[in-house]
Amino acid sequence: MRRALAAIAFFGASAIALAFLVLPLAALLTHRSPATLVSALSNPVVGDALLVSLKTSAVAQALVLLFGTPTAYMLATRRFRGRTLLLTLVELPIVLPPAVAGIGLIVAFGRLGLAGGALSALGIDVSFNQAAVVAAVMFVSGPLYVRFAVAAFGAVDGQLVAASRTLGAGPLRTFFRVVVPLAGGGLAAGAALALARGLGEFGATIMFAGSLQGVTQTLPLAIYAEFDNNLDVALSIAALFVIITGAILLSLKLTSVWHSSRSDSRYRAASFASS
Amino acid sequence: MTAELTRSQLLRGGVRGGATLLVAGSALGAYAVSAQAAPPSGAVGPLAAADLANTRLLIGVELLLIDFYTNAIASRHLRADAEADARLALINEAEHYDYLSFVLTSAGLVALTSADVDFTYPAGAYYTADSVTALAVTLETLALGAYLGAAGNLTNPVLAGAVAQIGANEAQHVSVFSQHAKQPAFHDAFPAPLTTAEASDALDGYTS
Amino acid sequence: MRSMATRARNPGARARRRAAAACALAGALALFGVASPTLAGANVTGITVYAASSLTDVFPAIDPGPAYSFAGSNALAAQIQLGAPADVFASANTSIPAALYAKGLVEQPVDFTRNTLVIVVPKSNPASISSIYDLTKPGVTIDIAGSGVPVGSYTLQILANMNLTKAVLANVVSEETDVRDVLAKVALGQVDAGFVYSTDAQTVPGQVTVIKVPAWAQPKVTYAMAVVTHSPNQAAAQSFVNEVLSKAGQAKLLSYGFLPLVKPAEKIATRPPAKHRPGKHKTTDGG
Repeated sequence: MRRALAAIAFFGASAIALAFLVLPLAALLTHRSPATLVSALSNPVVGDALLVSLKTSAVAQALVLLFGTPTAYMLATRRFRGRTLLLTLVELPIVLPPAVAGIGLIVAFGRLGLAGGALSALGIDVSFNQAAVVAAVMFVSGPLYVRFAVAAFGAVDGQLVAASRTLGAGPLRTFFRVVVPLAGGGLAAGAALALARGLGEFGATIMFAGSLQGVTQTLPLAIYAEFDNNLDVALSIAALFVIITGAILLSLKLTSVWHSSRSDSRYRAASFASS
Repeated sequence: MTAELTRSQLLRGGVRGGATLLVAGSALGAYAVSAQAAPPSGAVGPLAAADLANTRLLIGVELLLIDFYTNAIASRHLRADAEADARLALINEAEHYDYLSFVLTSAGLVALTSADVDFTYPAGAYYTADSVTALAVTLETLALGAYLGAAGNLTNPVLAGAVAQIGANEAQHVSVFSQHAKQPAFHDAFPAPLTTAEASDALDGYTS
Repeated sequence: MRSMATRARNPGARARRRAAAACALAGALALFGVASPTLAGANVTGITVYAASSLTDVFPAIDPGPAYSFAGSNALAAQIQLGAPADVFASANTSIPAALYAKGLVEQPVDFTRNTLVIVVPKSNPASISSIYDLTKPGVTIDIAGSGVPVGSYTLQILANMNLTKAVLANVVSEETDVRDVLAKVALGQVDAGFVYSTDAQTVPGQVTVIKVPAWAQPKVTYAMAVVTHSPNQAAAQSFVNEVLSKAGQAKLLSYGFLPLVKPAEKIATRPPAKHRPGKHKTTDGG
């Protein structure tokens, strides 16, 4: 009897939780007929926002991977004074409210900001253009990737790295041929989450880069602007979002499953679990 | 009708004397013609956006002049001859305003009225007869410059012609009030036109 | 003799009569106070007022009682259409309330104040803007509100009136959803100029410089408010509306820089003010 009650409570709670999470997503896709959603997508606002989002997210993602990977490797493998503090600082933007990130970017890189003068002296314009959007996206998504990458690199068995070195491989060859494949699952998970987070960034973007259709108005900004003017367009962009980010996450899960089914390396499993 | 409305606004604004009788007998539904001369008759035709913007600016100038002359007459400082000229000038300005306002309303737009704008004047502008006549010269010179500049910028020939006529009238006002202010009646062989920006900035000096 | 006896027989009568009179007086005062909640200082509580952002400072000064929600008027109207629990809706234009009235969501709107638009530039004025025509210079960065927001629509009207639309919009770098966001970006120095209401510019005195928008290009800016139809507090909502329309409410609006609904008759000083006499501090105005 008690076991039955426990089972009911267990499944009941799960059902409520799942319903709470799934209902908004389902409602987004079903509130208006698919025909209405598709026709609203033809609004130029949507096309412009999609283009801006894809462009800026792609550049931001590339830069995050380029600069984040060595940073994460260094933080994961080296032991030095202040390592914990540095790790905390790098992870801080993950928990900062986006509005705080926005203000921070303004007073750091804005025209009258800390580094603003230096940037304009160098001819770099990070103000109300796509560079500003990229900066905002990188600030919020980069730390997410670094955090996962640190965990992934940390899970790599140091003995395998040492073995590779003793067998004559240089540090770079070891890194690319041994470390990265071993940490691959965790790196991919971090990259996917960073991409999804960056696509959805709103507060920092609207404060630092502003919102102008076709220039800096990303998909979330377009939803916000259209909500007051044309609810159908806002709904269709939101539905589009659900589909895009759902696809990103789903493809990540499926490739991880495919990877781990190809070989039963416990390192891959460990790095997947850590994501 | 717009023509009628502006006249009643003038009456409420305190224009005294029989001068108003001259303008009272206006034709309904069309632009009113005074006893003296008439602007180019006939429709102005389609107007470019730049021409409409210029017309709005000139309406602002006319509202300033109408407001000024109303105050000048009400201040009771002007000598008899100067006051008579001020009343005639006020009639002229009212007709200028009516025509420009008619141009806008024919294009389906709404023209600014005196109820929409608050004018401010330099301190002491209406304290003495001399200060009032000096201000008359300043404002009429401003108007003349605005109309000369507009005449050069307008693309619609009918409107440009009317604006040139108005400018000629404003030049007459400049001359008359210069004499009242004990200044030479005329001097510049080529009175200076004002660009739209200059005229607008000058007009800004008289709005709060 | 008789009166003394009467008094002796009814010692408390006079006191009772006085107490009754006092009670009646107090009751009358209380009734008077309850019946006219628009008396100065009276607070209307228990209602929610959705108002345009430019009213953020003046509405709580008129009445701190209600719960306020300030945002762009079109954002608030969208929320009301989705059933938000507003009792009063105050918009920075007349068309949004009229549209809601046509849909039966609010009662008949009523105009309650007017405003004008100005250009604000950062105190340091990095682009050396001195008039609206300077906004057409290449390289100037301008911030405006979106076209659905009243102040954004008014801005576009000004530009159309002056035939500067293309030239100025080419320099616009961002469109905000709220006039106070435009003001904040200018105050922070992020942009060279922005279009806001003259009342907004007064809220950050030392941080921005005001550049006039020519009077001949100003649109008619009239604010309107209405009681929300599905509000459960109709009487309280109506008394708030009356409060804003009352003499005290209108005076408060004027003190914050809003314009009266009807332009007052012009007063021109035709004589210099009387000179001070030593010891006296009164001045008389000539006009």
